[in-house]
Amino acid sequence: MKINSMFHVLVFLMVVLVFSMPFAALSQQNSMRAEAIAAAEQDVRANVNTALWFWGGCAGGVLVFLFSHIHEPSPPASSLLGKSPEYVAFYTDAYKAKARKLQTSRAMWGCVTGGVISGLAYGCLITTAAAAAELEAN
Amino acid sequence: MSKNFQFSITLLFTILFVNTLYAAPLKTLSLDFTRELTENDKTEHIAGTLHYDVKTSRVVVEVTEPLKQIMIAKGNILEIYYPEQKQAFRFISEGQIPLPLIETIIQSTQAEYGLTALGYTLDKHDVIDKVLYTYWAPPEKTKDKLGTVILGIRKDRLISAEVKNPDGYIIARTLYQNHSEIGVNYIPMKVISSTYGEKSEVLQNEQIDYSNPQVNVEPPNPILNFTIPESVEVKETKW
Repeated sequence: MKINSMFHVLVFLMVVLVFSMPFAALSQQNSMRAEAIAAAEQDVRANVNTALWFWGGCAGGVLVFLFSHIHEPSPPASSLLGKSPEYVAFYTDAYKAKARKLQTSRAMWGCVTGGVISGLAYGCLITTAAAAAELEAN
Repeated sequence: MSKNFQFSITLLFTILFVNTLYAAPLKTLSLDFTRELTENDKTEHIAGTLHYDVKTSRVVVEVTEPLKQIMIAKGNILEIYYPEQKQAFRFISEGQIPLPLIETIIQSTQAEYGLTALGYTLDKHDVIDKVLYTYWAPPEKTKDKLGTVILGIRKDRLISAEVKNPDGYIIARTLYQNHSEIGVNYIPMKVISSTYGEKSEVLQNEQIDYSNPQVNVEPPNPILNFTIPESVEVKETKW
């Protein structure tokens, strides 16, 4: 049986086609994943009230910091309208992670700032009290 | 004489009946919609039908393009069902989930477009070219995050809304057009919105066109009571 070169070319093309399909699908999924993550991050920046978390951390200290770890803000429903199930899964995971990271970091900075301010206030109070006591003793 | 009397009575009843229907409170509302969203030079097109049950505050959005999707929002629960893929998501939030698309319509039926309910107070007003512009100041506790809202009203119809940040830069602008009288309210059939970045650059453009409004249809469309089939596994997430 004689196999001509045309047959070889066709087999080669068939192999390329079969093996490239999963890569094409994977590339498409990666592109959708990147798009969903970018959209989620943009929505988090627009929706998460960073000032509130900072001042909350400043006033409430560790409790607010712990709450920022637990609290997960819900994503806007309109961002999921007309999107595929894969997109919805990527988007919501990214939204949760990014929102939690942002609010935790702001609450932590608020907590640290509040701690420093409290420390300075106590320092001033102790110094003033000590100076007053010394003055009274003299 | 008797014919005239009959005619007058019929006319009176017709007017009374039409008026009763005209002023009937909104119970259910269905609207076809198309939404075009342009962001980063990319435009996406979504089409479908929006159903709203006022009594239960339940919104069902049937998306037909670019894929088949049913979104159900009520209270703190948002469900998304894909009839072709037989996949479903359920998001349970701690607070109320903002209702997709219908927010604009609900706002247009509320006193002061829902701003007083959100804690905004009327600061001042202007009349320019027969358009009444009202300036609303945000609640004291959110003044670091929110700025003034300016509403444009012509002939009892909301025609524009602008939202500014605390520094006075515009962050969002919405134009309401092609109003349709539904019940006792004027509902915009075309909503064009733009959102802006910190340097007033356009981040996103959105246009929603509504059509085929159906009010208080009897019996109500069964889609309003849609539930995800029990055979479908639902991926549940708590927020």
